[in-house]
Amino acid sequence: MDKILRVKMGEEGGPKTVVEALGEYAGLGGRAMTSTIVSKEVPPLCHPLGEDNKLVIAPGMLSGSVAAMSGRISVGCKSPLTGGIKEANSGGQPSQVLARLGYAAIVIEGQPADDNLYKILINKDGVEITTDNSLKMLGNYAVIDKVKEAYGDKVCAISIGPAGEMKMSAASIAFTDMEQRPTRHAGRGGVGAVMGSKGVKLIVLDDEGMSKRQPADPDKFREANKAWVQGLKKHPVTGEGLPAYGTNVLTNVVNEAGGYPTNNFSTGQFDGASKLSGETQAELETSRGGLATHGCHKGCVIQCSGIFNDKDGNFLTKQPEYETIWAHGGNCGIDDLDTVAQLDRMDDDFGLDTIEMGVAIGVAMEAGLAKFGDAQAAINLLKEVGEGTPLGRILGNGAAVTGQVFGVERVPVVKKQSMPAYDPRAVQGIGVTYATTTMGADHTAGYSVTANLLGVGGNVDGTKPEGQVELSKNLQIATAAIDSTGMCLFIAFAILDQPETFQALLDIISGFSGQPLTADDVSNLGMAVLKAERDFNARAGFTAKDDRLPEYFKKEPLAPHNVTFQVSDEDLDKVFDF
Amino acid sequence: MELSIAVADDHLPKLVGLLAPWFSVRAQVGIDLKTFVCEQLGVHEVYFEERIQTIFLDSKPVDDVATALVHDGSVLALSAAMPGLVGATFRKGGQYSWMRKAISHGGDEKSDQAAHGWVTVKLFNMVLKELGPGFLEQGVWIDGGRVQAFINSQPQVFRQHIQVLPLEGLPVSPDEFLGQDLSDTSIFIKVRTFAE
Repeated sequence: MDKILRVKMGEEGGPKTVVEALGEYAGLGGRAMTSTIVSKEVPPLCHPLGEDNKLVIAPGMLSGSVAAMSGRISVGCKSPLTGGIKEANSGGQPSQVLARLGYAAIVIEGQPADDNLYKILINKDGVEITTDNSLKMLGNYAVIDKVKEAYGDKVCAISIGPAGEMKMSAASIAFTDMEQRPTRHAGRGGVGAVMGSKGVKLIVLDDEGMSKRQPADPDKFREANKAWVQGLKKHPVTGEGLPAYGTNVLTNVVNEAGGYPTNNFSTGQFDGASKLSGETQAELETSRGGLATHGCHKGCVIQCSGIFNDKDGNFLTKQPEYETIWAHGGNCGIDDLDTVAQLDRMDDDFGLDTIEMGVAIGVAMEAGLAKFGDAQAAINLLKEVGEGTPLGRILGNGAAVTGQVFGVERVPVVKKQSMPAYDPRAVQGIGVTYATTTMGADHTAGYSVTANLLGVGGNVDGTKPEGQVELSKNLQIATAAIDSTGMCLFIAFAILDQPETFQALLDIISGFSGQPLTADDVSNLGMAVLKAERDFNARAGFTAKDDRLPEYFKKEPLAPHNVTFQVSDEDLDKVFDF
Repeated sequence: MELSIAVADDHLPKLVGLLAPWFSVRAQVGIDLKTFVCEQLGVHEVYFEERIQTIFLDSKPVDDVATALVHDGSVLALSAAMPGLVGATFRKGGQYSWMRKAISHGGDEKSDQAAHGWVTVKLFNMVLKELGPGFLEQGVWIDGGRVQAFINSQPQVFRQHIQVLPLEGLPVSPDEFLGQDLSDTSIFIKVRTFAE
């Protein structure tokens, strides 16, 4: 990973590519790479769908090596949904393949003068850009069928569906999985719309003839990776709970706690939660010949995904995540896993963020466009998005736009990005992160390891309001660092509970780079990423007033606990005091 | 109404779905949560301490199992450790527990009024898988309509492995059992296993 590929779409005579040395971006990966490039190179006041925005795709620092769990890829740009900086990341195969091809980032910039759709092929021989208008308005699954036909079953792909071509703010970018299906998505913030605005429909990656990235200190790396895998496998969450039930293991628990946003965040418990639960889902999947335990990329040892077959035993979609099942399920009053799986398949095919779409449909239901619990109506609304009807274009631009168009007050967004599946009134600490993260409401922004473990900010007393703020800050720092390594965030659980597993992670990175690494170095990296992101957002016009939850969270008590969000604005403003 | 279900021992794990989403037990109440789970429900103390990491009493996450009292009508949910930051916040006594302080169980005043009462029990994820068979063997109360729906949803090949018996009476086939109107009827179910 010693070079950056720049794809200049607006050049005279058609798109051109330039391969550059890493220069000032040396040593960066994943989110650190995308956010640094966007912060330095994108004018913060530019139109997100205009020629000055850039789309950056970067594998993690460890991607392409044999380090377990290192297959996450980051996508960065100015977000058409939030208007601020965006990093959305994904699993799938492309991170490993792009890294093995030697690229630390692809930067797509400018805009073509024509309406053609472009396809980019990257292999050991170089880069080729061609027009391919046969791909126009194809769903991601049909695009991948064409990829298989043209390039075989060994390559992987990055693509957008019709939503990206229509430049919808909920549009995602799809990454193919181990089975060459477009089931993994950089979902949040409308990154697919930015790819669509560049006229790029498809990137095909072929690493034939390339080898795995080699560590600088093979012995140290090998030993650390072994300890790392052992640590992940022995932990009850990463070694048992996630493999058995996936992230959807959370449905029953969050619902029991009264923090499961139901019917567009109007109450905290859903009567049909058990029918949507991970336990029910695993049983259903295995009974139909699918899988309840499966990885999203090679080298994953947690295996939190699965295969969801339809009633006839045919593949329908990958195992939908907890957030997807919540968004299209309980948030819309729907308790049928088959409906949710169908909506997930449609989202993947159209190229849409499942959280944004589920929340937008929930807002539409509140507006009276359909009744909560009406599964067929939800499917019909999503079809409108795929077809690009006027109503579909409203929904496809997210919950904030939908709420504005239909005059709904209860719109659960921060910085116009939809909240995920945890009500911040029940779990107030997550509300601090929703409010203050640079990304808009994001459950993964403050997901990772403890402050004390990373040695950031000293010991935190969480019983005091300032403790909530301090810990949210530290969690966001740690998450930004993990997002830069290419590691899946789910490693956080093993790191949290097992100091020796955290040390193994440090040793993997150190063994790979050949440089010593301490917890302080990791936290400094995380802080640098957040500073770059905050700086971009400030220059884009964001102020403290944007770091707030919608007003109704402070006014409407959430059943069953009848609690409101209590963290003061003054405390929220202390999160980023570094 | 009391029923016994006999099932080939290999198939006992498939019956744990009967316990979802909840079942009831009649037991001594007015006692602390740990005593209730270990002594009244028969869960081994080591398992309780190490495996059950997430506990809700009446939807409130519990940190101190010695001060939370189980009452007549309580709803008790037991789970293993959960993923995600929010999952971690729900762990008993975990370092993120303050993040959900607004809904945490605050503990009860000690009561010396121990008596028998009804408690609704919910087992989730690994805990359901691991403790479920034991609960089925010791007997629990479940809504009859739900039992019928569960058996109805099982493939015919599995139904061949189970027998439904009144506790003191002659065996009835699953189909005969399914023909009765048992909606809103609470049934005490005990599962026995046999070698096939």
